[in-house]
Amino acid sequence: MLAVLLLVVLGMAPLLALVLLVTRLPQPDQRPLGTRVRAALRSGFARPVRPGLVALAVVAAALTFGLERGYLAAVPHGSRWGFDVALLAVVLGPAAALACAGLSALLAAAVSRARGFGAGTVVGLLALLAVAAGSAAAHLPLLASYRADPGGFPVVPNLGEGDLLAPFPIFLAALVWAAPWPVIGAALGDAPGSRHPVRDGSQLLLDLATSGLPESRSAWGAALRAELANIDPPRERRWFAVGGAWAAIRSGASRHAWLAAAGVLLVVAAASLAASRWSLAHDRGGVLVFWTTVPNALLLAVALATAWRTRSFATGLRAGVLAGCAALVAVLVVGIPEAVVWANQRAGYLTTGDAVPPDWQSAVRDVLRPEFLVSILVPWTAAVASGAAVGAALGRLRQRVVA
Amino acid sequence: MVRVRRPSPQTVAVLAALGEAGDGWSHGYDLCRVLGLKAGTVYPILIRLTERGHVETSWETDPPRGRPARHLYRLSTAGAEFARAVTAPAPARDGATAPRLAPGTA
Repeated sequence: MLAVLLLVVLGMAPLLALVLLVTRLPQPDQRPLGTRVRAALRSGFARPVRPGLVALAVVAAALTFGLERGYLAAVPHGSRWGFDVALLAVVLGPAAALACAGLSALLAAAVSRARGFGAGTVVGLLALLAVAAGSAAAHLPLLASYRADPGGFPVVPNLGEGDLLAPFPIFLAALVWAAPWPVIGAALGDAPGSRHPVRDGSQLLLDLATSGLPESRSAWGAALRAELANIDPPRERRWFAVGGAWAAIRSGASRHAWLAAAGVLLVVAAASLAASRWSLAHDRGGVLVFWTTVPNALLLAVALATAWRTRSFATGLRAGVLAGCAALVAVLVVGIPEAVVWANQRAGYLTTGDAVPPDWQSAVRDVLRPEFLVSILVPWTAAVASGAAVGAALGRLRQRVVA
Repeated sequence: MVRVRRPSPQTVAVLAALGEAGDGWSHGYDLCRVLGLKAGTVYPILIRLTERGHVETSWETDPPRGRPARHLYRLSTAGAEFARAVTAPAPARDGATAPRLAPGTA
């Protein structure tokens, strides 16, 4: 049941991307599909995208190289630091893929504002490929030397034989999960009525920051953009664009968002307490799986409803993040005392239900382990982003239908 | 008695700058430059003042060729009264002085 819930939440983004591709590609001109795909590829590859992709691949390779060395140096000392470095690295793989999804969506949105949906999608997908290629180029030589001589590498009890470097292939595999986001980013960034050449990075920054404003604030976004168009000195433009983007991004969380966050806090706290007591009574193990799945649906609903109402991805995302912070507070407020209850009843750790903590302090520290917190936050983030994207798309569709 | 919260020094500065312009329209960027404040500070203040009816907005009717019309701001009648009230020097009390922008608040 919980797995189905997780699949439904995570399946929203690919479904939306598919719908966007099906509805966007046959429109709006009458050129054959093949011609338009070729035009999108040409436009997507045109300068300054190509050197940018090469730079992205080089950065991904350098980061992978550095992180792999850091991981190999840290992994034998995990027990000394009180958490499992290997497990943390495993859950950071999907977290990094999520960050790449955000980056590719941002790039796709930026390019689609100037060159259209097709070019934006192509650039976003190419960005993911560049990251994958750079990361693989740095990882494969290390993997080859590990396969050739595993004895020269540290031994980690929690990972099976030959699996020491598993976090890095997991990141590469999780990148597939990011694939829908270039399509979604390109669709959110594309505004056919106001497509215009981008003058510089300042304009791009302000365009992106103000494009997702709710309808009640969209005139202010236009005011900021018009003001920037009238400023010429590059330094002044940067100064104004950074300030304007900041104003747009933090453009007040509405009372609805605070109410929704308060509701999420109460529901997640009550549900966590119920799940903990039910698991305790029925000897069903810990509640970590509950935390990684059930609040997703709530967060998705909050982000979706807000984005649908305001027709704004950014507003939905902000409301979802606020609700996510409230859910995390609920998890900790309930989890810490419940961990002590579980420890006192010698029922095991609250998160996984295995082993009996030696004292209540260990039981509390277990709830705060970074690998568990990251494993909770990754699906929550994906749920919020998916909800905001689907809500914004449905809201805009509703507007078109009403108009 | 209803207590009215005193606006921030930055809001007072924006009100004073708009008050000095009188009936004339001001641009957001010019306000930023004159006051030494970032757009991230000035625009949220302008939004709030507009939503409270203290500031009127308009769009330029005849922008220069090739440039989009800029957004213009001036105090409404209620805003002018409010600006006078909050920018009037407070009666000296225990050496207190009128609100000033702290260095680095821009």
